[in-house]
Amino acid sequence: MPVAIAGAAALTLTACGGVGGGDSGDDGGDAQSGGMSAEPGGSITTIGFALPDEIATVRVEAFEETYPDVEVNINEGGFDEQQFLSSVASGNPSELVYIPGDQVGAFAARGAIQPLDECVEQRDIDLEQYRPNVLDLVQYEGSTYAIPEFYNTPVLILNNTVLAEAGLTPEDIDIADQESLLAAAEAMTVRNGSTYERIGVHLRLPDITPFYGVLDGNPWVAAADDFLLDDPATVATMERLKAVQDAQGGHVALKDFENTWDLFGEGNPFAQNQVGAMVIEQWYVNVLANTSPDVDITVLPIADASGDTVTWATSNAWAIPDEADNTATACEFMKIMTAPDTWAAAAEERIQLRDAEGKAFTGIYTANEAADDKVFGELYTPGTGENQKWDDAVQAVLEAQADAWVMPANAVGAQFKDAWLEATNRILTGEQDAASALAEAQDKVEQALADVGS
Amino acid sequence: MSAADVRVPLAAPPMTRRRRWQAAWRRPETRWAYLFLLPWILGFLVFTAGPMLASLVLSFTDYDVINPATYVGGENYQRMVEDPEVRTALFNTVLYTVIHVPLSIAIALALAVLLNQIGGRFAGFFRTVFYLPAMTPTVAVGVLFLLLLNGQNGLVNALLRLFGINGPAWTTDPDWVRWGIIIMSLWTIGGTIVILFAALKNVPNDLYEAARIDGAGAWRQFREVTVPMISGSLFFVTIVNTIASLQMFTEVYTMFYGNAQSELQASDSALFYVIYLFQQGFQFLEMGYASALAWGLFAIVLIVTLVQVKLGDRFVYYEGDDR
Repeated sequence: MPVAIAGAAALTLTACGGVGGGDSGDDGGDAQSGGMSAEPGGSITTIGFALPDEIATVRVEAFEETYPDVEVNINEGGFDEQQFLSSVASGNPSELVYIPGDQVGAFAARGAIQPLDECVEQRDIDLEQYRPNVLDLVQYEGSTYAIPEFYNTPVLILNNTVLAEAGLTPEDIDIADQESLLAAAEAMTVRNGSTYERIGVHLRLPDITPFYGVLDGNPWVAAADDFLLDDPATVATMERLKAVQDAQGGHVALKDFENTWDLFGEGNPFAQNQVGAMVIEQWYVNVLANTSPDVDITVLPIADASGDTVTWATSNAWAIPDEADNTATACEFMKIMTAPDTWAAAAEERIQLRDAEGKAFTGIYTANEAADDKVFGELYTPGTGENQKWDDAVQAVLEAQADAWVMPANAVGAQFKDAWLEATNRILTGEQDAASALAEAQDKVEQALADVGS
Repeated sequence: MSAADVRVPLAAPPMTRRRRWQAAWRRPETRWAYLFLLPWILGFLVFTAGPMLASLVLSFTDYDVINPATYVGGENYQRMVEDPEVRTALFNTVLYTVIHVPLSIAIALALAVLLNQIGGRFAGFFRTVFYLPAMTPTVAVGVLFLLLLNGQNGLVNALLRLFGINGPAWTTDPDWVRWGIIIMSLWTIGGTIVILFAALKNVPNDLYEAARIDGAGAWRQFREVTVPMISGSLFFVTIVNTIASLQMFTEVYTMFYGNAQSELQASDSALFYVIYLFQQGFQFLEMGYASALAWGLFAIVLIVTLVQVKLGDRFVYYEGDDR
């Protein structure tokens, strides 16, 4: 029955939606009762986190080796709001949840996750190690609510083969300059009507649309309660993005072509020359170095109109749900998972694996600056010869990451994303003009803010 | 035998409902029946009636799932009426229902008639083949059709190209997304085929013989014999498919909202009512409003079903009925 969906989920399903794994066995001692300074013990369960590679598994193993008596259950899978909220509402949450950084504020505002101030203080988590801008993402109303992990920032990846074919050089691709961007996009795009062989400049829309607001000098969020979607500068940004998509055949056809890509495989769009230039987060450099080590690319930081490097950072973060058991162990887990030594151990493992395959190690990029210093200062060896391009890429990423804009934690992260995503899709597909779509989006966000406030 | 010997039995006093129930309860069969029904009754109370009641209460509150609900009267229902996205979601859902239900039944009926013609050892094979798609998990159907409907290299457009037609971007063009969803929905008509096939099997052959003797051709036989005789089944699949269509969720959610990547191509055209309800409840933590939306849909389903039942009385023939 339709009515059962909401009600059943809110009440009845909570009974079977429990994901908590922290039994209150005797072996956990104080850790089970929630004292933050207690010796870790018992068991912990995580949700929203997966073990796709050595970077994840080595860090979990680091915790298990430090605390062999603790049973760690990694409930693998992406973050599922329904699963998480049902478990919290039922009073049976997991000990840890791994959530997108832009949702930390919303869950904090509603009390779905605990403030970690006591955890940070009593378990000696040195917040100064973490990048201050990423802490803005996980701190809400003066308290820390989550511990950030990765640090994702867009960079520009150029396909040198395609550029050469089109008679272009890397200097010709300027994302901030509309005229040269349009010219490059048109020069590199290859299509026959609506059937594509290549996208000239792939701006990764709508995924990272807010980044272009930052690039154009007008971030869409000024403060936790101050959104600028209907700002004339935002409208101008969206109009120029639509013009770039239209110059390449239109957003609908581009998206359709993008959906055919094997983004993570050996047949990726760079290996297949399906793209000339792409704006994408730095993790894709790692993907290419692993799947297509011979691909001919140039990675560049993205500069604004005045030539200054500009970027936007996102992150995922660990949090402890409200009323979770075994908080001391959970807190220690977060600390170890994001500690410099742990990241270094994971990096060493990856270096060994890449070495064994004759591939370049292109770094791991974390929200912990001390960890990055350790990885790039002590473990990373710049590539030479054929691997010089990967070293250049790493240097470009590090340059891009120096000063990234981060969205302030706010109580309506999900509504904000939904609003700008809807507006972006309507604008890019030509369903609605930028001014009215963004005005509607702004109204939605303000209404959501008012609802949370009331 | 004298008249005095004729004894007229005394009329038994009419049994009250309570007495009838007590009399029935004394029979062991009744007690066993209730015992076997008990698991379902408990399940219904705990997992259906209870949540329905709870959601009715929640629909009059502001409830974010985490904090205690606060009473807000009819605010959620007022918001529902004024919310432009509810209108969009309702439009998409009703349009889908209006097109999907007759189309799927027509195709299912045509296939059931074809199946009914197939005899011999291949009959079982074809029945299985036609039903097999209905066994596919709905999430898999969503993912499968994202590939099949891709405008660049999907099989649907490849097929259209054979006829010189340049197919649209079914999954990314807002003007075509709804039609793509309707095409996808036809994948799971196997259940309807089976029901109609069973009904066709029950139509007595002598009716066709009589019709043939009267000079009726194939179409006339279908219209005057087959359709009336299976009208009960047609009525049933109409009601069931209508309710399922109004509650459309899983396939569309998988295609356009299920993960961070798919939600990037979600357009207003893919916003179905239950998806909007789900977003409000679990994405935006507006469980009170989501509950009101659920009751709104319940009212719509109830009204549509009552209208169908009323109309069905006119058109449906039941064997043994006077009409």
